Amino acid sequence: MLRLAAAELRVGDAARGFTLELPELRLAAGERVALVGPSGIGKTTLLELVALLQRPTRLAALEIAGHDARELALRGGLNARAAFRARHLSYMVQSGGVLPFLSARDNALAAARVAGERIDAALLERLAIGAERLGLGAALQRGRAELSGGERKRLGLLRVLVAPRPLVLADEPTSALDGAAATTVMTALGELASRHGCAVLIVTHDEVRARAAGFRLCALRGVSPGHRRLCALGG
Amino acid sequence: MSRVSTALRFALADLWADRLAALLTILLLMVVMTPATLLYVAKVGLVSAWTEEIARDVSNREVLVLGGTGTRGWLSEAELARLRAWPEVGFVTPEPVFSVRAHDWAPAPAGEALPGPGQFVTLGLRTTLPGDPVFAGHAVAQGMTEVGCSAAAAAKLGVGVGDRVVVQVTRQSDGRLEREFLPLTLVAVVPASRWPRANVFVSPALARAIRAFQYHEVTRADFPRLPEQATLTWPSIRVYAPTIHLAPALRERLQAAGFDEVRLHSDQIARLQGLERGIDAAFGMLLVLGALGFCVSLFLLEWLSAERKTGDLALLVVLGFGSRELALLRLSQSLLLVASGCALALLTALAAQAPLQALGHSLLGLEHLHPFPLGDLMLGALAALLIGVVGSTYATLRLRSAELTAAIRKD
Repeated sequence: MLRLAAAELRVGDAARGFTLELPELRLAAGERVALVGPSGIGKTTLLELVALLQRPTRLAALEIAGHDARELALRGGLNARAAFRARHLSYMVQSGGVLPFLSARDNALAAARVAGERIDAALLERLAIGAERLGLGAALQRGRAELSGGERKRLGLLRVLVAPRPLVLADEPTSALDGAAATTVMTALGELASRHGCAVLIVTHDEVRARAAGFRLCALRGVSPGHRRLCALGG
Repeated sequence: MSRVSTALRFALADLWADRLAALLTILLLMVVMTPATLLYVAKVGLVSAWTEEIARDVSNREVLVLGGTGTRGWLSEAELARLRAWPEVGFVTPEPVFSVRAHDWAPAPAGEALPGPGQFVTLGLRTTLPGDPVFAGHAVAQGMTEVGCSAAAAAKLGVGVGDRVVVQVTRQSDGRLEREFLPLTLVAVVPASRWPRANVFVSPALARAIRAFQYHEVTRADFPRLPEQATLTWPSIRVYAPTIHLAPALRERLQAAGFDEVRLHSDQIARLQGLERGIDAAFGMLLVLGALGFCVSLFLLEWLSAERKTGDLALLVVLGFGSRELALLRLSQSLLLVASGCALALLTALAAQAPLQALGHSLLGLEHLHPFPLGDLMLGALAALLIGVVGSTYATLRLRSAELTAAIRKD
């Protein structure tokens, strides 16, 4: 589902920036991987690179959902990358990513709408089940201002559950959530892989819950000043 | 649902969610556009209506040559033809005397009888030619048998078109008064709005023949004929500019050409031109300031909006919106805001019609204003929308991927 090889990305300027080196990262359909490492090491940057939001300086291969996305990642325009992302990727940003001008319900349906999907009965059923599962049933009719930070985060996941793509990316999905909500979210992400066959790649500091939800850990470490590498798989 | 309709749906939802800011934006655009719009409506409504009102009175195009041809000598037919070729001249007819000469006129009695002494009315004699603006839409007296007159003259004589009138021409000969009577057919009566004074109009040839009789150039038996050796020169003219705006230029040129005591028939043109110049200057200033203010306001609003909403735009990019959809979203918002601002400015201008009408009536005596210049204002609105398109597109396109990526993390 995801194959990334020999990628390199320069982040920031020469004085304070770093080079992110990614020798290889593979995720099969239904596989779960959690990227761990200290804050500021470049985990989110790696996620953004896979989401075609960052342009690598070097890239040997990038395949997403059976499509060669190398050229797209290296030289693709905003439109082409956005269209590819809408079809093949679900990305849950760290804050949850709630559009302030839409109700909670419309936020949950936003990814499907942006992809041009019909809002049919099956999709609405997924919305109802997902909302129930994440404890957002009552919150769906509210606006963003009325949502708590935790609800916003769960709403971001609900958007993924309503219209999951083959590759699901989530940036610290359990941060700022209480224990029960964090477990629910991590479990739901795990089930996206086990039930829907999605490849799920997350960035987290919550290693315990990630392991419990069946995520394989993958560490990003600094190998020298200004040089970070994805150097350990499994665990 | 297509991505286009999603972009439009999101655009409207965003405007509604941010309705106070949207309303303030619309009001700001309206405030910037309204002064120039109002002044334009005033310019078209008042000035154009007044111009039309003035133009309706042909005397406002007339340039009076009170002193005749002055030092330049009498005008020959060739000089008259050169005068007609001036672009400032719309119509000119020669006058056989310096000032208007009065004659006795009376309705023609039936048969061979002559009018009685009490029937005669003294009226000033003028000349006319085809193309005379005073007779526009009426027959023009031609040859030695026709006459036209003003409504005031017709009322004094008690005659109408088709009636016959008699002119009595007199001269002193060896201490005796010689009288000749010439019957003529009345071919036109021009309304008082065209010529308020009591005058009769004949062809220059007939007027010259009358003069020839009075100055003993012909015998009684030869009246009304011109002497065989008569030189056709004219001591004065009745002259009109083709438009009221050219009347001052015609006056200047006649003065420069040596005509004496040349002046405009009416001081309304000077007032009109003063008003036009004042309004044009104010309008030009307001238009420049308004356009500048509009562009700056729009650019600032677009820039601020893009800055404020970069996080939202970034999230839309994460979800799969490309630059096309982002541009459409921002563009539709911009167009809606600018169109609303234009609509409010237009409504304000429409509301100002009634006070303008009152002003036109009290200040200039106008019954009606010129029609509301909707077409011109729509063109102005179109220009404003185009500026909106450019501003919005620029603000959207300047968003770089890197900025969007950074905004995702800030959200």
